Amino acid sequence: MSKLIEELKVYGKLLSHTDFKVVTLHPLADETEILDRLDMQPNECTSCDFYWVFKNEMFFVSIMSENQENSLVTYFFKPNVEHGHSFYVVTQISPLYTSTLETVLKYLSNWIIDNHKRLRKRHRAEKVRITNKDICKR
Amino acid sequence: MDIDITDKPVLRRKTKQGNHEIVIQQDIKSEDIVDSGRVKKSQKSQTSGED
Repeated sequence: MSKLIEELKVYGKLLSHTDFKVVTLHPLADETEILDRLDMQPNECTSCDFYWVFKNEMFFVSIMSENQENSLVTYFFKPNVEHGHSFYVVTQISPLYTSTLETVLKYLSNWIIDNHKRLRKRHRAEKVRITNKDICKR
Repeated sequence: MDIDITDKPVLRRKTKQGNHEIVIQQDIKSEDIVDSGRVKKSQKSQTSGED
């Protein structure tokens, strides 16, 4: 696990104020210092890609805010690639905060735990639509 | 690779590092690719064969 965390840190600093092991590539609405440096407003934080280490595996997750009602969560698997697992999440919630990301990760953690055996056995490229629900809405 | 994004829905965003990104929110078709910077293998092998 610690080796994966070191690998994760290659992408940047671990996200603070959360127990999830995450490095975000795009700023979140509550990261005020970063937004000031980038000359951005919190309401511009409508998408975020990040790497996440969980259960001895690294995942790539992309969250996108959209006004239209086409919320979904999908899982992709790319074979013959190290860390070939990725998730795509579309939500109507905007902007994205650290708490939004945590809500997503709690949902994905449960899905990974429930599907752990299936995930380890995959050898072919695969795309799974997990849900059409907006998992960011409580 | 250069992609023609005319009439395509795009999201412009900034990374934490300050880099600008354009996310194309639609599938890319082969006719959308207008140029490619890849070196052709045949040209490369011809050049190295002459050395």
